[in-house]
Order: sequence, then structure tokens, then C-alpha cells
Amino acid sequence: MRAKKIERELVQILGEENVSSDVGDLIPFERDDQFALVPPHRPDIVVMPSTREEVQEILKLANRHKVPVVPLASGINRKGLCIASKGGILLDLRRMNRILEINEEMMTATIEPGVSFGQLVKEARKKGFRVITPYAPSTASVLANYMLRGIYGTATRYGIDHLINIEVVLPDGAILQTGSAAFNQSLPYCNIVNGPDLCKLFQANPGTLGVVTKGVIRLYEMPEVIEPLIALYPDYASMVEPSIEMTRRNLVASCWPMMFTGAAMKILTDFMEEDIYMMWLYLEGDRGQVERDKEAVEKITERYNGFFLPEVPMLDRDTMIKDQIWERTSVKGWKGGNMYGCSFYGVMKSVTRYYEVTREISKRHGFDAFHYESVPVAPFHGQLTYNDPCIFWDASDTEQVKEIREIHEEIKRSLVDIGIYGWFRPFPSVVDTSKLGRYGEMWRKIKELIDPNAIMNPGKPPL
Amino acid sequence: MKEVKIMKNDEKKRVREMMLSDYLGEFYHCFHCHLCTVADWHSLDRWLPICPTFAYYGFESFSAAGKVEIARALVEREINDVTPRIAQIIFSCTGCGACFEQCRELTGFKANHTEIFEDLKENLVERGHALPKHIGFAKSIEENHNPYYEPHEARFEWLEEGLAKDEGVVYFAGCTSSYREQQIAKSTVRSLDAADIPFRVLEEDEWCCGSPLLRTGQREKAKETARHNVEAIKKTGAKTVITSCAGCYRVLKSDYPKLLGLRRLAFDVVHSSQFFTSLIDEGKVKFDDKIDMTATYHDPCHIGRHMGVYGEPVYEEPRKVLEEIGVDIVEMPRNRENAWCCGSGGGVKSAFPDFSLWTAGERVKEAESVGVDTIVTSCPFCVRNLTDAVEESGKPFKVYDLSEILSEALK
Ligand SMILES: Cc1cc2nc3c(=O)[nH]c(=O)nc-3n(C[C@H](O)[C@H](O)[C@H](O)COP(=O)(O)OP(=O)(O)OC[C@H]3O[C@@H](n4cnc5c(N)ncnc54)[C@H](O)[C@@H]3O)c2cc1C
Repeated sequence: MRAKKIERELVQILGEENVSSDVGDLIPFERDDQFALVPPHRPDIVVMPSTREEVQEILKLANRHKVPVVPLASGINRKGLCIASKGGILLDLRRMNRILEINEEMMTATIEPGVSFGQLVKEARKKGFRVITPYAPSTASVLANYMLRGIYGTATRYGIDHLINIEVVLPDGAILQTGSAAFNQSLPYCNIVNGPDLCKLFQANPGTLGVVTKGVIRLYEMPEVIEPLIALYPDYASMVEPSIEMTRRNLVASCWPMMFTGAAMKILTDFMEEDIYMMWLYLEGDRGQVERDKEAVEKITERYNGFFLPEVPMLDRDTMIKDQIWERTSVKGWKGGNMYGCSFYGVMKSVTRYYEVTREISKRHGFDAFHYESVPVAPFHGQLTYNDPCIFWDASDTEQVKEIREIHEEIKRSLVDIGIYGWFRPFPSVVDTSKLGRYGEMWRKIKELIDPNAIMNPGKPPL
Repeated sequence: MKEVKIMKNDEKKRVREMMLSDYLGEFYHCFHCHLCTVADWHSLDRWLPICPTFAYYGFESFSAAGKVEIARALVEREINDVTPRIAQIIFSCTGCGACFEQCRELTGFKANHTEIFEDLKENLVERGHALPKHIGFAKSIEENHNPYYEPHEARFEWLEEGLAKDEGVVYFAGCTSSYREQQIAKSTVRSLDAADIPFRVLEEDEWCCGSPLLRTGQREKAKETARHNVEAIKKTGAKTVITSCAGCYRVLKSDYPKLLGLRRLAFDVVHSSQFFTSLIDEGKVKFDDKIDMTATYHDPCHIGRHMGVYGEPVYEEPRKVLEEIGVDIVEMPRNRENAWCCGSGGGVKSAFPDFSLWTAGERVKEAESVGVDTIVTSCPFCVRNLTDAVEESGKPFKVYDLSEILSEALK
């Protein structure tokens, strides 16, 4: 009865063609790549708003009826973040896909949550700008990704903070503007006025505080030259010092030390079966700068027993450059079926230990196809490094599902023992706010204050 | 691999369920990246949609990832009842194969989406959810050997007397060119005649190739028509069959052997564009008076992407013929593997006319965006739908089949 009434009200707000409670429309949302760690659950209804006003009405209704709302911007987060663990309304924002402004003077874009990286890159390029992109499918939502604080190809030089301001519809339907937009909506290009930066409060909350309907993001000048290089090293430890030196001297825009086991290489290439340790490096800037940086990078590489790989078909120069600008075409890491990852932030000097421990756990559980990456992030104070131990596995095998669950627990414990800064992206199977002391308590209180009926994406951190 | 429960008391159902369930492992490998919904932006340097159903309906369920999840839920018996909405989701897929084309290059998902979705359609048909329009044309195929409710006797009314011989290659005209787009059949035979190629037609022995049945999950019904056509062609002793229809080409060349459990057919199947390319290469056809025309070329899915999976895609031959004739081809951004479907395949034009027309309209807009006013293609069904879209737009656009330009040039 109640469900029917809610559906009728939603139809009134959005029209019949934008609302469905048919099982056929719900099933596609019930699980994602992370289903081994975040159990599948179906939403009760899916809606597709096109405007901020519609989002406001939906939230008011949901708040009145105390019905969960799960925002979804493109649904490819791989961390169970859009699973409607308590049912409710799946708020699919893909129709809100307008690029509202590309401001050449301010070097900003103002966009809606349904705008994908591919869409924005195309428009920004017309004006000579570059969008900072993750090495992820270009279909991902820019705002969802920036809100979750992603990791980007160029994190070593440009860091991970590319969001200036947001507009949020709060659970009661009210609208909040952050930064300068709170004060002057015609000048929404600054985040550091009017007290604390409330945009940051909403960042890294996976749809748990409100619905972002608009965001102002940073665009960057397109470099004159992008020069990709791949350096090979004898082992993981040998890559640590050169990474630190290249990052501190600001020689590279991207520095991705990675390793692939022979079993992983076999899946990826079909012919190589050797363990491989390599650094993907991108030099960027004007021609003179790139030449100078390249010289320095070559010397460092040689000093640490690395050598440069000549161009190979799978990693040709053109594809690598397009990966850097457009994001990847390739999600080939999934060639083996599925990919487990438990990414986190840690300290560069400790990455060899992180790597060794996680690889050993993977091997002990019978997973030889393993991959590790550790990316220095700007600003590099504290040797801030993004880390991702990845395991190629097959989710259609129930035995492997069990093993992956065990591995996940072991990896989490071991990494905490070594000492990490914290988990990358707050996803349900890693963040335990009770372990965060007062900070966790405060986080929960803020959540209660903003969302007293706990309608926003229940089951996700912090609650 | 997950264990799959199989219905014991219904042999036929068991066989079909087995087929869909064969993909179960792969269903677990789709991680919803949605790259299947966008044309290859690396090679195109543009960001353009490629899945018509997802672009039009917008709900996740209409994307390839969504349909894969529905297939999984059906196989795992998570849902038993097929709702009318599920039928709409599954049957509105044009089967253009663009999703697989993107996915197979990028991910570890190894199954062919077009095959999965056809099996899914068949699964729904067996559960009693065939769409009335599809049931209707299947009945017409059974009774009249064509899906258009037209009398079988009228099939070759378009054929001018004296052109066809009792020897040479077989021209398999197909239903759409025989009853709806007769200019295509007429131009094809005129071109053959002009090139001094003796040909024959099957006359009353030409039945619908079965494409509308296969593409709408009515595979069992297609077997009879396949058997009949293969026998009829064999009886002529011809070694080559020419089709001007992209749908017939794919079915005869690639589906018939599979349907009939044959390693290969006793005859070769070629598309008319391939046939004339060979004649040009061998110097047997020359175009002294070039045609002055600027046009874009629309790649039909059935000779393009589909054949790229099952054999060799026919991308270059139609272009080569057009260039030889003197046509200046201006490519649309989405061409060859990245072609946007015309929206008429998979039983969509009959069951979802609005969506079908919208899809064709998008293609016409794309053609317009490259500054031409003429689209040439190699499929009567594409010609029909693109023409309908042009008519609806009210724009002075022209749509031709390659055969029409060819016969004009050979005059
Ligand atoms: C192969 C692969 C590689 C990847 N590599 C990277 C990488 O290198 N770097 C990286 O950063 N990421 C990477 N990702 C993740 C991806 O880039 C996604 O952008 C990101 O995780 C967000 O997902 P999404 O855009 O689909 O958002 P969604 O999945 O739609 O949403 C993510 C979360 O944000 C919430 N949310 C969404 N929209 C709103 C809104 N408007 N308001 C409030 N809450 C909202 C949702 O409820 C959910 O909790 C990768 C993913 C894949 C599949």
C-alpha cells in the first residue's frame, strides 16, 4: 500500500517514463563487482530525475516517508557504494548530464552529476583545456569521482583535489551551496572563504549526506608535450627511491610503480609469463622542460638499475597519451574475469612491505595472478602514496568468493599492523568508524544532524 | 562455476535454458563499466553513444550490462515471472552488436552479447512472451514465406521478363527487396545484366531467409525455411549465391551452417558489393562515365559488425564500389565497427516503431553533420528505416541502396 502510494507520488513528480518498480529495471542495480564483500540487494524503485527541483521533491517525499535514497551517478564504483542495502529509491542521475559552463578565464567547468569524464574531456578540449582523469572507464561521473576523491593518472604532480564547490540537495529538500557560491552565486569559483570548506565535509561521504546536483571543478592547461616512458626494474624495492626522488624534484606528472606477477602477465598478454616490475612515467610541459626532465629521469633510472622499455604494441605511445588525456579504453586488468582491490593511502618508504605482505597473502590463498601499484600523490608531504593490491579472480567460482572474503580480512589486518594512513574511498567493507575514536563519533553525529531520518544511502560509512 | 538448476520435465525448455546458462560464468564478469554504450573514443577522438536502446530509454536495464544482469537472474531462477517490461527491455534490442564490439576489445567478458540477447529472446519466446508483432510476422512467414503478409506468388513480380536465365549465379532477392524496396532488387539484376553476369532466381522456391525469426528468438521456426532454401539452391547446382540484403547475407552465410549442423554449405554466399568489387578488381566492370555525387556511407550491422565476428566484415567493398563509380564519400564519425545502427533490426521496427524511427533519425542527423545530403547503404531494411526518418524530418535528404547507384553507373 505504502509502496504504491510512494510510487504514485514519484510518478507525479517525474512522469511515468522516469519511474519504475518493475523487477526488470531493479535487477541491474542489485549487485556490482564487489558483491563478494557487499551483499546484493535490490532497490524498490528506480527514478530518473532531470532537474534539481525534481531531486528536491524526491528527497522531501523520501524524508517524509523515511524511505532510503541511493544516489547513482554512473554506477561503476566497484565498491558496492550504490547497492541499496536497505531497499528504497535508486536515484539514477544520468539524465542530469549538462555541462553548464566552461569558464576559460576561471579555468573551471560547472557540471551536473551525470556528466561523464568522456563527455567533459571532449568539451574542455574544444577550449584547449584538460580534465584531470582517473585511469578508469571514461563513462565514470566526474562529480561522483571527485566527490569520492579518486586517484588520477597525474596525481603525482596535480594531486587529487579538483573540486571547488558543490550544490547539494539536503535530505529535507533544502539546497546548500558551498564556498563562494554560498555568498555570491554568480561567482562560485572559490572554496576558501566563508569559514570552513563545507565542500570537503561532503567529499568522501558516499551519497550519505545529500545529493550533489552541481559542482564547479578545476580545469588545467593542456601541456605542449606529453611524453610517456616505461622503466623496468629488478624488483619492487628498487622502485621506491627513484619514485621519491622524481616526485620531490617535480620531474614527472605521473609516476606509477607497478608489479605484475607472471600469472597476471599471462592473462594480460597471453605470451609473457615473467614477473614484471615497471614504472609508468609521464613527462609533461613545454618542449624544453620535458627535455630537461627527461634527462634527469634517465639519470635517476640508471642510478637505481632501471632501464627503459622500447615501445611495445600493447603500450604504444599513442594509446598511452590518449589514456592520459581521455582515460583508458582498456580495462584489461579484468581479462581474467574479476579484480579484487583494497586500495589505501600509506607512506612511500613502506610500500615494499605493503607489497610483500599482500602478495604473500594472495599467494597463500592460491591466487598467483597478482598486481600491485603505489602512486606518489602531490603534495608529497608525509610521502603520501596511493596503494592498490589487486588480485585477478573469478567471481563465478563460489570457492574463490569464499577465499576472497578471507583474503580481504587478512589484508586489512596486516596493512593496519604495518601502518597506513587510511583506506582509499570509504566503502562498506573497510571503514569501521568505531575504530576512529572521537573522529568517528563526530562523523556519525554530523551525519545524524544532516540526515536525522537516515534516509541517505544507509549501510554505507559512516553508519 | 555456479550450479544451475535445470527444469526436468520439459525437454525443450531444458535445451534452451542450458544454452543461456552456458554464459553464467561470463555474466559474473561484467562489472558494469558501461564502455559498451560508447563508441571507441580513442580512435574517434569524440564522445558518442553507440547503444541505441540505452540512449533512447535511459534506464540501466536497457544497457548491455543491465540485460546481462536480467539474463543472470533468469538463469539463476532469481526471477521466474517475465513481466511485460522485461519483454520490452529484451525485445527492444536491435541486436546491432555494437556493445560486443566495444566490450571484446576492452574487457575480460568473453561471451558475445548479440548471441546472449538472442538466446534471451528465445528464452522469453519459450516462456510464452513473444511479442504479438513477432508472432504475426512468423505466421506470415509460415503461410506466405515472407513477413509482410504478401502473397508468395507475387514475390518476383518486380523481375523484368527475360533478365533471369537458367544458369549462372543465384540472386537471392530477399523479402524486403521483393515486396517493399523493389528498386533494390531491380537495380541489382540490372547491374548483373549490364555486367554480363548470367544469373537466376529461385522463383517460388525462394522463401524468407529466416532472419526476422532468428533475430527475434524464434530459432526453431527458422530451421524449416533454412532447410528449404539450402535445398532449393543446391538443386540449381549454382556455386555462388548473391544477396543484396545484409540480413539475408548474414543468415545464409553464417547462420545456415550452424542451424543445420553443417560444416559448410555447398555454395558460396557473397554480398552484391563483394561480387562487384571482384568484377572491378578483375577488370570486368569499368565505369567510364563517373557519377558526380557526394554521399556518406552507412554500414549495415549485419554485413559489418556481425560478419566481423562470424567471418569477414564487409566494410571496404561497398566503399570501393562507390569510389570506383565516382562517389565522393564523406565518412560519418561513427563508421565501420563504430557505426550507429539504423534501428530497424531485431524485430524492432515492427514492435517499437517510435524507438526505431528515433534511432534512424539520429543517423540522419549524423549524416547531416558531415555536410552531405545523401546516404548510401547496402541493406534494404536500413534504406527503409532511414528513408522513413528522412520523411519524418521533412528534410531534402536522399537515401539510396548501393545497387541503385551501381545500376545507374552501369547504364
Ligand atoms: C576498471 C576501473 C578502473 C578504475 N580506476 C580508477 C582510478 O584509477 N581512479 C579512480 O579514482 N577511480 C577509478 N575507478 C572508479 C571510477 O572511476 C568511478 O568514477 C568512481 O568510483 C565513482 O563511480 P561512479 O562515477 O560510477 O559513481 P557512482 O558509482 O554512481 O557513485 C559512487 C558513490 O557516490 C554516490 N553518489 C553518486 N552521485 C552522487 C551525487 N550526485 N550526490 C551524492 N552522492 C552521489 C553514490 O551513492 C555512491 O555512493 C575505476 C573503476 C573501474 C571500473
